[in-house]
Amino acid sequence: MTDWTSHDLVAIAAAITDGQVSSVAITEACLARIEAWQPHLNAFIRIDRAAALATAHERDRERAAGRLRGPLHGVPLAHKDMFYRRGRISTGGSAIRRDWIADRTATVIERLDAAGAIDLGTLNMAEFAAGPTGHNIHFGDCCNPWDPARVTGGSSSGSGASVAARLVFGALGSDTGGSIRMPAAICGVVGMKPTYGRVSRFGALPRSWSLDHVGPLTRSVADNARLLSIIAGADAQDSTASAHDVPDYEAALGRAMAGLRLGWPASLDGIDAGTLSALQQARGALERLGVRIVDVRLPELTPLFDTAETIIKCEAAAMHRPWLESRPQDYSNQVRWRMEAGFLIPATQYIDALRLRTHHTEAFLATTMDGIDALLLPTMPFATPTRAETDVERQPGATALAILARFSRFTRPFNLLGLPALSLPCGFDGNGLPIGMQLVGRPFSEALLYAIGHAYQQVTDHHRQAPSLVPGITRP
Amino acid sequence: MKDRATLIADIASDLQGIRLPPARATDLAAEVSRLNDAVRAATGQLSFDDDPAAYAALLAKASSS
Repeated sequence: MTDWTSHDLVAIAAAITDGQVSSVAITEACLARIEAWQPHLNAFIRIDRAAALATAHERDRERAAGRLRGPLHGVPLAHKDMFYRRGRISTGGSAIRRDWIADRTATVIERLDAAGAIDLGTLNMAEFAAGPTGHNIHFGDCCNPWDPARVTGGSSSGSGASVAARLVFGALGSDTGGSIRMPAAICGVVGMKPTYGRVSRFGALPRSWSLDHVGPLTRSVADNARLLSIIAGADAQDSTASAHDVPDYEAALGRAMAGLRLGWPASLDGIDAGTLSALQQARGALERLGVRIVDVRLPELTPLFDTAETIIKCEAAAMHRPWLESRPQDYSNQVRWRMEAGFLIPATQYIDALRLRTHHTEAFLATTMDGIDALLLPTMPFATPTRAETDVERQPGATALAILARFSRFTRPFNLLGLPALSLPCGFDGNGLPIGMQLVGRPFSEALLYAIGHAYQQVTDHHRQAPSLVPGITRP
Repeated sequence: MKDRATLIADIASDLQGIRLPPARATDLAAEVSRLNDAVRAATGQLSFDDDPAAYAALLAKASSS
């Protein structure tokens, strides 16, 4: 009997379209798998079983009548619980919005619906998208499907875990400092943080308007290309959504690698030996595909990090002010702590940080990116830690805080710069947890990043590895 | 002259209506100083006409396709 949940999104979409399998059968298979894994992972905040099956029946009727909605017809997805759907609760992973019913539908959700996708429910996340680990005191921590004692990465924790565990065929996440890429790397899936403005943010709970990016997490680069092609593009409801043409990302996957120039940092401080080894092997695989490796120099990342932090804290403080005044006790400590500095930074510093964003980006493109097509970096600097050692809420201390501070070292700078960054699996660490590599490109070069990532996935099989459910083991 | 933590606590209270415990005020004073200093250190490269909205135009201009 075929295990349809082991297929990737593109294959399942074709199987449904061709009539090999019904959307109802696929949806039921996903729901059964979710039921088995949920006690271990806590990847879902809400499972919309009845609605998903009703939609699946409708998709099957449509298909039988020769009416296909689009390239995701009948394909089950789920999304981080921050993408609003009118009339449905959207918690944002928070106590404050535990019962809040959305008054609008996110543009990205409308586009996925129009393409025919099924929505299985809402996925766990860090509270208000503010946390790099996946801890959540309101809905319970999300756990890594490779080892439930370890973090999933965040804040799109449920998105990373559910895609990795083959519960869904793809998921949306958001990324303000690494929140798509970190869970993608840690859970062993593909995550794209597109160029700032590539994807509409309308109807997505904000973390920081200037640095928020919306993007997909999937099992493969090809899957990711399909989802981005559907959600990208201008949106009259989001003035920051770019009108830049959306290319056919899937058609561009077969681009030849010969002659492409990939930047390799001359020094990569602060990454552990296992991560460096995996990255070096990835570099070798890409060289064998014909990619030319060019030594480049990264700028000091700390100024970029601090400029991004200034912007995030000020914007988050402004947007949360009413609740922080009226119900501060309903925030977790670590989410409240991360915003408080925003109330104390002078407005002129915030504005200067925004002005500096242009200078930092120009300088990066003119120096580090000069003469190369893309840049190869690690996504995470170290092996995946445990949930216990990074639980700053329950065990605040210098060690946990020090680990958290290093999480987004290689991701947050690219939120400031707004450049597209793709994380994909490139190996496993000594504990058997996935390692991710990051490809960074020029503005709106997602197609190129996808082409490189797809070529790499044709000669490697890290992305085909999936975690196994261990009977009798529930999340600690 | 007030120490930095006291200053931060007073600003939080008087200007933002936020009451900070002393230990928290100390931590925030260090954090705000670090971020403040980072931005101020870089502002030498800013000119009078640098507009925050220039960033979107830069992305569009710098695209490779």
